[in-house]
Amino acid sequence: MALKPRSSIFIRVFLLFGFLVLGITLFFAFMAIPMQKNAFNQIMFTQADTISRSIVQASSDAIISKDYGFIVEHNVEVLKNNTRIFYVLVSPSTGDKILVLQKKWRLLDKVDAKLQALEGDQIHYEILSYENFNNVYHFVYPIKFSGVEWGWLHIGFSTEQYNQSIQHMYDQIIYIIGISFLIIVIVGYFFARWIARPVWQISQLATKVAGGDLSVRSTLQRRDEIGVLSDSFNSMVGALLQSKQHLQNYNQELEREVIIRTQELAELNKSLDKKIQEEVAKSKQQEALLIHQSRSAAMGEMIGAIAHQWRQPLNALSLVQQNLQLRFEMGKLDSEFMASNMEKSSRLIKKMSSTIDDFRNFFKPNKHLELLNVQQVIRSTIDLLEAQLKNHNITITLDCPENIEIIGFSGEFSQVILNLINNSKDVLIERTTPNPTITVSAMQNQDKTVQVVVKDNGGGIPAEIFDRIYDPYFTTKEEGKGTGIGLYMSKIIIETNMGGVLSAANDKEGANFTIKLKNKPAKRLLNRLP
Amino acid sequence: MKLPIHLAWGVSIFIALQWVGMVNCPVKGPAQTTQLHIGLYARSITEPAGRKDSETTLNFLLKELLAAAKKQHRFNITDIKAILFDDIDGMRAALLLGDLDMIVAPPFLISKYFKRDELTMGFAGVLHNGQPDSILLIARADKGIASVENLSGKKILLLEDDELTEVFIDYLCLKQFKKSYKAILSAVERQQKASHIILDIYFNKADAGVVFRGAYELMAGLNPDVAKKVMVIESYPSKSRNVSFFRKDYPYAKEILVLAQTSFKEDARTKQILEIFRTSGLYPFNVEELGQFDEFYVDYQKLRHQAGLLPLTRK
Repeated sequence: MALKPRSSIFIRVFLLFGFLVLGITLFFAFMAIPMQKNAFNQIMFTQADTISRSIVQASSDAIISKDYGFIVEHNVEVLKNNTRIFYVLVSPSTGDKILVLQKKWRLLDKVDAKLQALEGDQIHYEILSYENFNNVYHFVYPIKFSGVEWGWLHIGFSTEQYNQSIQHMYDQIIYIIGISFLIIVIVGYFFARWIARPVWQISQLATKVAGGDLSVRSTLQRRDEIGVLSDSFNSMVGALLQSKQHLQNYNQELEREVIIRTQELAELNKSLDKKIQEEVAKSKQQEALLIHQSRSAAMGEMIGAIAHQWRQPLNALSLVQQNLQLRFEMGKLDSEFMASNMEKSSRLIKKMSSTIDDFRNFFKPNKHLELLNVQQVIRSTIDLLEAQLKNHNITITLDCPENIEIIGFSGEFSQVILNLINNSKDVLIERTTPNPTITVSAMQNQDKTVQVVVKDNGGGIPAEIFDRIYDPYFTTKEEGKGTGIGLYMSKIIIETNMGGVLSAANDKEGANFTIKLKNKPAKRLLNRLP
Repeated sequence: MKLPIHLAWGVSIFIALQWVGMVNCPVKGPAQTTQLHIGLYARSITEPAGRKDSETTLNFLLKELLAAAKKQHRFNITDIKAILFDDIDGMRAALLLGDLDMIVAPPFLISKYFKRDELTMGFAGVLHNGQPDSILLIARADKGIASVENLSGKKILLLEDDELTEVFIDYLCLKQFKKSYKAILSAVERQQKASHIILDIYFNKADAGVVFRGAYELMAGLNPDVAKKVMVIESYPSKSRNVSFFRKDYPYAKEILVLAQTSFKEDARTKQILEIFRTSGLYPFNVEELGQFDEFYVDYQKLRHQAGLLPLTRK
């Protein structure tokens, strides 16, 4: 692929060189003009001064002796031998003035007013017109002898030579500029070519290299940076070629490796699928085991609770039985007493039976969603634990309106409430909290969500374990007293199975576990309604 | 470089020599070698410049021209030299000894000091208008000098070292007053340059003077007022202030004369040089034409005799 540059180095170097040389030439040329003009002016002045002094010196005797013939003759000779002088005007302070021109002379009564204005103490010169001569360099030289002012010598010089010199200077400048321009064009061309050509060549070669042709080599042989660039380019292309070959070899090796790896991966995939299936199965087993453990743990807790629950009616039944035996031995067992005790026994047995029903309801494998009355579910759970709590002097209160309903699994929801109350109970017992209290409250928010809070005054969850309380198998209880799966399962049940949120927080008294449930469960849950 | 009047002679002669070389050498085959020594009477030619300067300049210029001529025309005058003489007798002696091949001097002196058989042909310059460079007696118009008879008691200016002009004013006075001019004129002063004499008269520093026509016309040309204020009273038709003659038997005399007469008019440089000196050309001047000066001198001697003055000696 041939890359076309946006601009040419050749043109830029050529123009840069051209403008540089032309600029320097013009700068020096135009710097020289005023200097040269000044020099020409100085030359004119010096010549005029020299000639004036010469005339005055040569004519001094004649001036003093008023030998005007000599003055005329001398100045005629001066003009004859110097065609650049248009005229000489000898102007004594008094008397006739002698005007000598080329090939003629005459006497004047007085000097022209404009010339007279130039007569002063000092040398004066001016460009003016006089006697049909235009652009005359008119030089006025005061003639003095021994401090006495005798008059003035006016000399009119032709400025032709000056103008010619100026013109010649301009011509030379134009000539120099012309030559410079020619040099710029010729030298600039070769210079730009000298600079740009190797770059262009290397650029072309680089383009070929970019196109993939690594067989190209620069043939430039120079001892400057371009030569170094050429050598570097060749080295680079050589290295590229070597790298390419290495790369090709490496690619081939890689391809082989890829084929091998692909085969290995295919085999690995096969085994991985199998492993995944196995792991999933294992995970399901573990989950089932976990649930089973959880249920078992809950069952254990429940059995304990039942045991406490049954203790009082059993004692009562025992007393009834002892009373019956005592009355019988005393012979006072009448039908009324008998009926009363039978009724009492029946009531106790019913209560115990009810406990068994509650237990059975709690653990029945109900996997169907149903409309639950929150108060009833919580109340039945508290009832199961009430005896156990009383045993430890733990006060439990329930603050829940009757009409709050949710949709969910009643057994699982009870299990969550049971876990939370049990955890509070264990903490209160462990920390021997004075006036241990567990408060269960439920309310329906304005957004129709249902919020259940299990709160205790056991001091709260330590900060260092706060992030780990939902981890499976994490427990702070003594070994054998806790499994570490209660809160984990509670979170799974609330958030995964019932679409709610279980969160924990501490207040100044103790821990608060809050369950937030939607009044209307998610569609996926509704679809599961019978 | 200033080119005095004697150089015009040298240059003119040399240009003629170039023509000789150009004509002769290619035809005659092998070039001949010879010399050209020119003797010039210093007092009549060193008017604008010093004697030594004139001699040096003239020799330099002649040798330079000789070198150029050799290249162009195979001209084999190997020895060219200009020699100035203050003494006319010395110049004659050199001519007789063969040291000089040509002499340049006032015609009156040549007629007076040289024998005719010692010379052969020569040049004479004439003025721009073709008139001879005559001797003029001039006077300031407002001095009331209309003729020679009005010169009495006047101050006159004469050319320094010019015997003919002195003889001329003396001739006029002897003829008019039967007395030498020294006895008639109140004052006689000498000036080196004729132009200066004219200007002095113009500026009223003298009453009259004797000059050559060339100088008078030159000054009148420079300022026409000069011709109005300085009038010509008398004249003597002297051909030229200086004339030249080759020595007898000089081999190229005839050829140089012919070429000078013909080719000088065509040569721009020659014309330019002659123009400077108000001379339009050089014309042949025969030895016989010196007879005019012989006759004049004889008449002058007669007038001296009539005035009771001793005759001037002559070779």
